[in-house]
Amino acid sequence: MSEAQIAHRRLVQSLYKRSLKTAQDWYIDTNLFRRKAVELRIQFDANKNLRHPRQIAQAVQEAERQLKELRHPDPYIAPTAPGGTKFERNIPPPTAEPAAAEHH
Amino acid sequence: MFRALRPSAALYRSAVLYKNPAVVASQSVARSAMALNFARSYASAGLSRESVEKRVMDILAGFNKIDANKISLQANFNSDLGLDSLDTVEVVMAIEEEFSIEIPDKDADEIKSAANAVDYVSKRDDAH
Repeated sequence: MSEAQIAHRRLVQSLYKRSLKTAQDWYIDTNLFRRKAVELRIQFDANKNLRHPRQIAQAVQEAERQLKELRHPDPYIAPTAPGGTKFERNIPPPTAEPAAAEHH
Repeated sequence: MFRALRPSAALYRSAVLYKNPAVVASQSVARSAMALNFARSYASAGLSRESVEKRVMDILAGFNKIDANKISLQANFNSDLGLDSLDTVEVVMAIEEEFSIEIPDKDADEIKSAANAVDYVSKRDDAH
């Protein structure tokens, strides 16, 4: 796999993950979400055999546009992830002595 | 009612003592010791490696695209279990959900087998 192919694989993986996360934000019910996840997978697989660079770029652009449009206003954030409810809570207090104030 | 708001005599006394340099020095030692003692510790002291292994293997076993006979800790998702890149994303998301952590894309890219996943989850101290 060339560097460009690896970069493209990562881009598509990121798109797929963000799509699933967005679907998870909108569909609380697991059964509905599973159905949506399968639909998303079909949509991604439909573009699997695109070879022309322009077609690929268009498909990626279209996916990004849809993701932006469907972004959830209050997405789920894992508790310890930045912005989550437990993010940076109960950090152990600094035990080192503060530097002596010499400028007084 | 307002009496409770008034600083207590003990507080005044400690403020007076604080002026004395010798007391300040001994207090600073006591303060750092206190900080150590009062650092909150959680009841859960991380996950044991066996339990992480079992939970990761259970996730793989529940994945319908994986042949149950081929599952092992060292099996590569792509070459041994026959998963493509999008299936790997699904596995990583299942692991995220199981341990209630968020795995950044950079780290998710390194997870290529169950053993990698177990290593990564054991490293994360916020995994549940």
